[in-house]
Amino acid sequence: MHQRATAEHGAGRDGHLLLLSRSEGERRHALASWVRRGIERGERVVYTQRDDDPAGRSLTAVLADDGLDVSALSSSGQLQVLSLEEYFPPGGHLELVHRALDDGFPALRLSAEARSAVAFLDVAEYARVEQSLEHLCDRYPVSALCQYPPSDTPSEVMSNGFRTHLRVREPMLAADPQDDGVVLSGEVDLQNAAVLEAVLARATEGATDLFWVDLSAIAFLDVAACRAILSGTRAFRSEGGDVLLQGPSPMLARTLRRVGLESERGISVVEARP
Amino acid sequence: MTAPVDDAHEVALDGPGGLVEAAVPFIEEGLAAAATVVTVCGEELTGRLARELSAGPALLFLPQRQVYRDVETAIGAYRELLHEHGRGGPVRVVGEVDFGASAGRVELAMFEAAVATTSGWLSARTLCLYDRRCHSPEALFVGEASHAYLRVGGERRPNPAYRAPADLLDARPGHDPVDAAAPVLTVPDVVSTAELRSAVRQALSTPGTRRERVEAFVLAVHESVANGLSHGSGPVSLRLWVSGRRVVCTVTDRGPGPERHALGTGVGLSLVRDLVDEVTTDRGPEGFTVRLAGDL
Repeated sequence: MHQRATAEHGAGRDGHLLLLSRSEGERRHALASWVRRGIERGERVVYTQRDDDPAGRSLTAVLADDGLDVSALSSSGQLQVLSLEEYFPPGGHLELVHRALDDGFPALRLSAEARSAVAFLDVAEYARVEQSLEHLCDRYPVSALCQYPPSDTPSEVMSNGFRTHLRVREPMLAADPQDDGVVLSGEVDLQNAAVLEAVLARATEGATDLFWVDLSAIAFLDVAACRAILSGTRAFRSEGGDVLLQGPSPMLARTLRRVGLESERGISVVEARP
Repeated sequence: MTAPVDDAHEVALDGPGGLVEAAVPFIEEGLAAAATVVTVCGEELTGRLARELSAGPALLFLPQRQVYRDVETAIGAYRELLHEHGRGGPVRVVGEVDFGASAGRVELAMFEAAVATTSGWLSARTLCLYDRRCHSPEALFVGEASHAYLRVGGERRPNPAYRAPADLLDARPGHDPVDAAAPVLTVPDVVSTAELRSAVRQALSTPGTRRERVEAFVLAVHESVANGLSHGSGPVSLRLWVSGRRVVCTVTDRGPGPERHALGTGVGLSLVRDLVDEVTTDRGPEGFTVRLAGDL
């Protein structure tokens, strides 16, 4: 039996998130609410940014705009903005985790933009750091918000981002993979279909015979999204894998039928979760 | 206005009495010119015409169903009729147009364009009769605008409302009483499709509308916008009119639109046609417009 993802992980941690924002406004909004969630739980938030970034782009500016008392949070040690050298220590992030726990915080939140990271690390090194963060977030009280705004992120870094993150946050879509399946929520259309395609391609890589896609929290899918479901699962299906689209609303189920998804090899639609 | 070219094709729009008044001189002129005349009318009109004129080898009364079933078969049946009866010399047809609910504005315009062309090619003359009691305002608009000549009280005159078939097929929005008013939503440049959907959904969710119909219309609008964003050239703009349960929406991009033959072949556009009652397209100076209309 598959476990449903807890809604927005209310009880647990946010985990290792790939944040895909389409505009600076969206990035700031997502970052501010992610930080706020950590602050409210008493967690430590550690951030890094480039020295040459405009002041308005800094975390301090983003949080001040959101109404957080940045100087109080900084002096209490709950909020730390580190240099790139301090944020990416040679021994890895585990060092920062231990320090936060030793300082009495229940958990640690880490966030940086990919464009900042690759100003300090080379692309392959950064991918290794992301890979180890994925494990760290699994085993320790750590959450990470890795910001990959597609318009500001080199394509090689972008594709590594999809490879090293299972959980994806995009303004309209959240994807939370589980064993042999993925829970999607939000809306998918031509403007974020590429994200869904990448998520499915990544998530089906390790799947066995059957891969389920939970659509019960999806409010809207268009023709481009249906194509993304096909292309993202094509490699898995061509090796004999079966994809189960679960729990679409009646309206969504009609769209899937009209587009002819069910007649594609290896795709079935079940309107109620088994 | 385009000068009338297809003078083989005329129309009368009236009640049954007026239609008989228009048809009788048309038939008599034909008989006098040694033409074969065929009428394809409903029972009422056939009966009234038969009382005025007697059938003979040169005047045949055929049942309406022989031609008017659905548009596609009607076009073929009409051509066969002209071939069969026009073999020996000139031929005239009086047809009472009635497709019931099976033909929308576009289908009707296509049928009339086919009749005009076929009549011209085969040197035939056709008088189409529209019983005003039986047609929607939209069908009467197409019926009137698709003929180069009008018969009023038996007299034939150039039709000031005539529009060439291509113009009529791509008829500009504006004939719907709903979109004559100010739009409830105007978006000059669609950036976020998600935000657009939520604005359209909000504008349509008025008391009395069914959620399922609203969602179907929202999806149709979205796919039209998606087509403009992916295949047209920007900006893509949208206007939405709502009056009671009636909704009209136009989506315009600056591109030339798809090839005419490609229309309706894309999954997106065929989905749109599936979801909404009336879908028409128009190429104008401002670009390519898809117009969606229906009841919620």
